[in-house]
Amino acid sequence: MESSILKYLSTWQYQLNMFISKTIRDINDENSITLSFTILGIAFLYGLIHAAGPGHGKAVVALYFGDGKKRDYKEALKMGYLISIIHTISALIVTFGLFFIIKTFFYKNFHSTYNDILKISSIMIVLVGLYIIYEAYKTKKTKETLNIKKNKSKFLVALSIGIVPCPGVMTIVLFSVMLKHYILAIFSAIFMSLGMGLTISIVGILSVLFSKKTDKFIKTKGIILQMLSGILIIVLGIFLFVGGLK
Amino acid sequence: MIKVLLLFFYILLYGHPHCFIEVYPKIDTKNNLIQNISFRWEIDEMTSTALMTEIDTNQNGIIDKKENNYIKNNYFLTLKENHFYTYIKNNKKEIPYTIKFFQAKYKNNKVNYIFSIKTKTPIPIKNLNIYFYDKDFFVAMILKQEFLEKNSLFEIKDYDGDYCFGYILKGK
Repeated sequence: MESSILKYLSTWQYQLNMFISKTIRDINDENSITLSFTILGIAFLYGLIHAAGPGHGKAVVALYFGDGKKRDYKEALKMGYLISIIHTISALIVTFGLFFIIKTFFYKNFHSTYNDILKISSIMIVLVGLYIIYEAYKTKKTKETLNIKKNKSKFLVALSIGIVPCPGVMTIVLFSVMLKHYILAIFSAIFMSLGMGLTISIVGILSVLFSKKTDKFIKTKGIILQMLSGILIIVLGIFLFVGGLK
Repeated sequence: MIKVLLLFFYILLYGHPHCFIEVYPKIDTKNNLIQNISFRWEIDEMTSTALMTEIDTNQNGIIDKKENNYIKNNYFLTLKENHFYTYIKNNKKEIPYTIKFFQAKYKNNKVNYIFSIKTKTPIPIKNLNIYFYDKDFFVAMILKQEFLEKNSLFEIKDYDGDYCFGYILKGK
């Protein structure tokens, strides 16, 4: 079942990847507007499917919104887009930085830079987990109700996930830059991030929905759930860090 | 709740493809035994472009001998730890192999890796199973029936890994 999903996600991405590269290469003075808009549409779809695959912080988002406290659809939507915006800015900075500053050795530097940022991201994810546990502990100690200061950890969560540049975005940006379509490079990254943001938001919204369904349980066991959410986020961060050491 | 959390946790742990490689196998047989196995990998255009920015140092659009050695040592042989995304089995037993030859070419805006492999003992056609997959699923290996020669003695099946998807080339 999972492999079938992976097969379709992989096949669709493969076809979209081929379509985008062929279309970017076909751009000329006469068809540039039509093809550019086609590419942006496809980039959005590519981002949507790309983020539906594993990764892109969906697990952290699900755990963050599934801890019984942050039960707001708007917050989930905002979080998805905040992550994808940071994801894209990071990809643009790393790609343009490597391409224009280092130019040669792009691929090798891309991998080492990517791994370094991945390690920073995993440390930040661990910090998010610790913060959530601290919040739960403080709530328990002061016997406060489950009203939280939502914004405190929200940005840290988005930053910790989004800081890792998406290699998918980077590849499209680099490809467009190589063919000297600089504006298209930036806009394809933006449209791909809009697609990814929607997918990540949907995961957050589903998590909020699930939290609402378990409202009674949360009222009584909310702190345990919050602690568990924090612990799982820490474990995720450790797994990512260890994975980056390979 | 725990199940849902664990599902998301499980999903995060496997990667997703950023690079796509089409695999064109060529298998020579004699007396129902495998004599020689070679492959041509065609790397997707976007990844090829990124690779060429680094390897084509004189920017002539051709991978010359020096650039070929660079790509072989820095990008191809380093894939040994990933089994070159290629696992050869005689029935169910995994067979070790060595790389005999490697050449990189740039054709139709794509980098091609052409290489052959050698097993210690010849394998009967019927027993041959070659698995193509990246266990981290960062690379998607693509194998289609039309990539094989006409009247091929082999067929292609899907491979369902725990965390990835790939293909199997099976002797008929």
